[in-house]
Amino acid sequence: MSLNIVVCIKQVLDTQLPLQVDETSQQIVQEAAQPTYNINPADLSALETAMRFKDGLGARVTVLTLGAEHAIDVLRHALARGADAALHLVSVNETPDAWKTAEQLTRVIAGLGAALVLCGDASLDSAGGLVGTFMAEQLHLPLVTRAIRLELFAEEEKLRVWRQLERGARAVVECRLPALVCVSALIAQPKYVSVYRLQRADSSRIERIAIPPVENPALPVCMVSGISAPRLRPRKMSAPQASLSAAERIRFLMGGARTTAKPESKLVEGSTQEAVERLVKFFQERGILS
Amino acid sequence: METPIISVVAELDEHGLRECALEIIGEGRSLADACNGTLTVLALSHTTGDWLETLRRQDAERVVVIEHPLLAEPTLDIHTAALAQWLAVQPPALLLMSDTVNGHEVAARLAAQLRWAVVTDCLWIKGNPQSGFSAIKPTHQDKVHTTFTCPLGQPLIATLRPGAIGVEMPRGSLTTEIIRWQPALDESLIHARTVEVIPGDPRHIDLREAERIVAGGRGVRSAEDWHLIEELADALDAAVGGSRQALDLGYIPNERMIGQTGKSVKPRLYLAAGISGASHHLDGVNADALIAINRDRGAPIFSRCALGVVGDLYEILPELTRRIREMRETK
Repeated sequence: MSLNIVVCIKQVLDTQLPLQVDETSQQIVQEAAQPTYNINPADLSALETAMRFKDGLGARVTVLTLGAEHAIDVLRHALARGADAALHLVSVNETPDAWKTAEQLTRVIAGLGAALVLCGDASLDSAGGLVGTFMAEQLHLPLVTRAIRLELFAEEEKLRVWRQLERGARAVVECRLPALVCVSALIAQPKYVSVYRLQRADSSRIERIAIPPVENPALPVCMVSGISAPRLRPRKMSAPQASLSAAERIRFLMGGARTTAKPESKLVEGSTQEAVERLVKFFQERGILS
Repeated sequence: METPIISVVAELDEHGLRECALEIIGEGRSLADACNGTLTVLALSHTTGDWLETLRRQDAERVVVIEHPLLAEPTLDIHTAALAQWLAVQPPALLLMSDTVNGHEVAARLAAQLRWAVVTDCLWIKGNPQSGFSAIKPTHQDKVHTTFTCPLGQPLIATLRPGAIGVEMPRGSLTTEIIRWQPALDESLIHARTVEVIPGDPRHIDLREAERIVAGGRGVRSAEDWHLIEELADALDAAVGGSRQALDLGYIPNERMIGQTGKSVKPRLYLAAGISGASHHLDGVNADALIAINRDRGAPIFSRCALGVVGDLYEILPELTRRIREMRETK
């Protein structure tokens, strides 16, 4: 039995290039004459992960994308990277929305008999990070997000995934197959693709599937009502202590209310032994050394 | 008309309440005030702790502690199910969560299960339940801000980017009612189980993520002596950092420099040895506890630290490292 892996990829506007927001026309303007599109970095991570399983376990990899005509470029790119088949889902989606996108993708994925569905954990452009989770809900699959390493046990139909948490921590998650995993952009170590493979991908067949729009999404849609250049909101901060001098209060506010001159600051002068004792005591009080 | 409810999920970690929880409680309070509503803070736990007292002091009408032994596991299937059950009992007009790794995922899962509208990683939520909420979130690698209009009359889930709002002091004028509630959870809800959480290795993680940092500066006289800093960091499970001087002298690589032109760090413990504390350096340091070791009694760092030691780091650091190692070994 061959192992089927489905990878969902998205074509995004290349945000590395300078971008500007034209607020009157509500358009994103790129400095380049023509907008440059690229494969979403997290999706590239997902694709590379699938390729590792193809090399190691002989998995069959199908890539699919939902998007406009020019989105076919990312499928060709994926084929050049070694994907076995590519599906282009074409739809007249008047308002792009995570739930609708997920539903259109899962209609096709449900029939592909995939043991593993991979996607990037968020896109560079809309950056919602929702489609993967919604697909897992619609397909009733176990879900793991922010994956940075995957181990697949095909015989036991089991998957072990390392997730990236905050402060450098990792969580190890185990689940059965089939499953859906959202891969973090961090692990993209894309291999070099030769010109020959790129040329060959140009002439390969890409199946085109027309997908009817989702009329009544089960999840209410939040409509985009406008875009603007980034304007940071002012941060809230605690009021400076009234006991401080005017100069201290100004410094407190200008410094983002982060630090105050601490009058209670304790200074230790004495022998090395005393200093070390005092430091150790401080660590113990703060629970640093228990 | 019914009083609208704004709910906030306060995220806890092994140290108790996270700072981002206080941020969204403050945001929830102002949104509740704007619509004459009430604020409910939700906390998931298998046990109680000091954090409950902190939550009681916040400006919320209600704190709901959702308690279950299974919540001891960091498995998100369980946390989502517990929250979903409470939200079915008391659906709010708006549910705020922090856009942390787990907060983001639980919010998306809740939206999918409850079929509620959701906007993630917002900077700003405006409006009220009567006229509808709008949410502003950064997109296109933070180069664009997109405004979403959320459907009227439907509950909305929004996650807020940690650190974007800031924390205000609570007014403390409200009496908070504490409700303990038991969800019905069992093992069958788990589809993807978190079997282990591995803490970050302080030697390799990004300084911005480090819990503890030991930093050195000009006071270390040569690169051969830098091991004093490294050994203390190792004993304390801390990351190594340095000032611009340490970088210029070749003690540390570029990504280990802390300050205005380097990394801005936010550790729980910051130990500065041989750093005088020029504003260029200290602007990048926002530590819960700042410790300074310096020979110069007049060093500016002494006016900013929780504990200052006037002394020679060449004497103090080896002795301190030895003491800490001894204490950890005898345990």
